[in-house]
Amino acid sequence: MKKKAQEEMVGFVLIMLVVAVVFLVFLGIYLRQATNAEPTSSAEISQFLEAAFEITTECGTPFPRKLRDVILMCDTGIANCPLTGEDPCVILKETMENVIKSSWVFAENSPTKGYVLDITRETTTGPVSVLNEPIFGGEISCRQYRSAAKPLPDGITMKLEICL
Amino acid sequence: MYNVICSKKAQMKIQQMAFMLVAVMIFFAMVALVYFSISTANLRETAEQLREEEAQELASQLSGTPELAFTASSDCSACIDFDKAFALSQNPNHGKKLWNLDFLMIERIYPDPVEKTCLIPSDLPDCKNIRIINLPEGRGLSGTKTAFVSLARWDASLAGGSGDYKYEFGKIHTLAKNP
Repeated sequence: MKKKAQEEMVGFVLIMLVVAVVFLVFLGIYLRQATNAEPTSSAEISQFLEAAFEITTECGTPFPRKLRDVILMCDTGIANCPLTGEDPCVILKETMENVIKSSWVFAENSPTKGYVLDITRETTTGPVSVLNEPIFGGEISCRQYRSAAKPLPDGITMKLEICL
Repeated sequence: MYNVICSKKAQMKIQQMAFMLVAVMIFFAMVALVYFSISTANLRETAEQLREEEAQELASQLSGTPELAFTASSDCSACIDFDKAFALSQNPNHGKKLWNLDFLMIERIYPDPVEKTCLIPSDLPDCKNIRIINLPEGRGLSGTKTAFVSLARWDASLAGGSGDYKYEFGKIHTLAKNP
């Protein structure tokens, strides 16, 4: 009688263990999904990039170039801005940093924590950064991202990720 | 004696079953909790995406209307004509007749504007906001949709003094009419 009761107890504990393991597997899958969140496509950021391409920059004043032309000039690296002689890559970096910081507030208590902007050109060996390195600000390692990319001629793509 | 043993065994069985039922209930409750939290997160994301798409749609609709569209040059079809918007703001009733909105404002974001509303022509071009439709009294700004836009305006100082269009960066704010 005592042995049978012990067997029953062992069976009960085994069932509890199986239930606990199944629950842990579910929890693990859920947490992995949450932490490895892929950046979700954002119409707002897409619109931001589209509007930003049209901005008149300081490059070449009083015959200033649009941002899209400055990106192409920076990529070719051949010429400086006409008349002013400034480096188009410096103008590009400054303009984009200012526009992004004027459009969103990046702070710990803000809905947007940080950003990463990368301008790349597609080559046979893979994408190459036009600005040598991405432009970033605020907190950039976070659980959720919103992002969008916009293409330009010559295989150039501008991609912006906003950390939430 | 036999009855007492049987009763104890039965009690043990009932207890075991009760524990089992509780464990199964807790398990299913936890699974349901995980499932609902995942589906709620997806729902929130979908709602956010729909809100963004709606704002984008509205911005493209407004920038496509002849009253605001930049038509002087063909190199920016999605731009809003800042000068037209200012002219419209001079008579708020025009905006109210044209669009079924409670609030319509165009905000300059870049280059950094001066913190003031564009009210008279001398405020241009450094002012920040053009209010085409003013918010009715007692109406809050909650529910306002915003979208990024390019703003085009004539700048006489460009092209060596002969003037050219300058493209700036801005935002359009709209609030649907209260039903």
